[in-house]
Amino acid sequence: MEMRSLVYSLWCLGIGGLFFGSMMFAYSPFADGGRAAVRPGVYGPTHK
Amino acid sequence: MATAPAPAAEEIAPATKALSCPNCGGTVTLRAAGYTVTVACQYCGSLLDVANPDVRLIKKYKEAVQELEIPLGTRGTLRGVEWEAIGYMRRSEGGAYPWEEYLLFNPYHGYRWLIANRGGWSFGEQLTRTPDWAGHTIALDGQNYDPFFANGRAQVDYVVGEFYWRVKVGESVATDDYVRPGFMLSREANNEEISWSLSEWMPPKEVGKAFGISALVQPWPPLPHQPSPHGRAVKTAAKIGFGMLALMLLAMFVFGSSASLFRGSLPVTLDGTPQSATVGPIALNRSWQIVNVSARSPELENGWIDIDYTLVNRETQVAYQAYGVAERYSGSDSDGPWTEGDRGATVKVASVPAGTYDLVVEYTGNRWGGAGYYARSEARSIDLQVRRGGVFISNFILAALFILAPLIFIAIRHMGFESARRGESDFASSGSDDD
Repeated sequence: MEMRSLVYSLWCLGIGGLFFGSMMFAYSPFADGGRAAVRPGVYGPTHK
Repeated sequence: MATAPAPAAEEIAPATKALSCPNCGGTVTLRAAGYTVTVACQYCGSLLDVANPDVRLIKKYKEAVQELEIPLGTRGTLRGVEWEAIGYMRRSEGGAYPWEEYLLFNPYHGYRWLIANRGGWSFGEQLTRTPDWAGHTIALDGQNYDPFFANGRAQVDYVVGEFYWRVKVGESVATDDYVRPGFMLSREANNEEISWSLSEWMPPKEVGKAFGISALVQPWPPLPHQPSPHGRAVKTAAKIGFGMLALMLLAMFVFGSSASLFRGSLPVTLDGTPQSATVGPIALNRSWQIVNVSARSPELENGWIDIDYTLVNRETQVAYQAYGVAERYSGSDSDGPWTEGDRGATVKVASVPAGTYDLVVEYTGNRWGGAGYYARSEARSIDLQVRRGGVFISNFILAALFILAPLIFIAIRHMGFESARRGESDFASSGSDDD
């Protein structure tokens, strides 16, 4: 196999790996929503 | 080229012979003694007839012999056979498009030609059989050759060394050339004979290594029969790339199933009042999943509904948020009635881990003021559906772009090479009507 075919194979494997990884973790950079910023875990009035 | 003698292996005895040039007195070595008919003196260029024991001067020259890229007498191994360069000719099309031909000799394999054209090399052999016509192509040994050059006229401009026929400067033959990737079939004809030769394109490095040539160049445009250096890479890359894409599609088909987790209806009014509802519990049992939330207001008209979703894990209180809008407008103007917008909105929330969740839906219905006082604006309910699973098509499209981009790049280079190669042909389609 030519060097560039080998490099392209590795490139495809890398892209495929990212794709299958994104499937496994249900991730997409184009998702409409995701995890919200974490708010402080204290609720209610803070008045002393 | 004249037809080469085909010496049988058993009748050949490797022989060299030295003779004295009748013109300059230089010692001329015959490397294929017994087969050589004509020799051009390597010192003064005079043509000598050596077919008979008495060497006869055919044509007298006093020119300096040019320095050859492969000096005569050089030996090199090509295709597993050691060849010796014994003759050299420079030929051209009436003085234009010059090329060089080295006559190679091996006492057990006969003669071959090493042809140098614009830095490209070919290894040629005289044929002892005639190719057949196959439609508009020429067929030889089951392979078809496309016409490339037609009605050419090749003349000899310069000779040095020995030859198996009576070669002389100025003699010319009619030529036609046919090609397939890597090979060229050439027809040469004069009043006495028609001869065919088959030449194979040689990688310059291979010729350079065999004959010790250091200054190697890649011809551009390519030689007529030069195979594209990208052709094989395109085929291999296409198999790899499309194979990977097929694998991705299969994975999406197998693992892209989805399941409904909730379906219900929420009341809504288009008065700008914030409304809220909590849907749950929603149990997600895969390690990670996509959560699809679809909202549709079937009666929505001339208004929009902003919808904020918050998926809250009951145990960890970690929240996943998304926003959607359902909108629908209609009216009538000078062009007639029109509608715009979508009464439904679907959002996809990524990377939601397993757990039990509540879906908090905060929504506000708004009436479109531009509809006019008498226009109907209404919405009664939102049909809500929550599903788990599915796939992101956008991920596949992005991956496909990254996989296909190098393939397209190589394919473009391949097409550029082939276009440049075919552009040299007498049969190339021309875009102009200049002639």
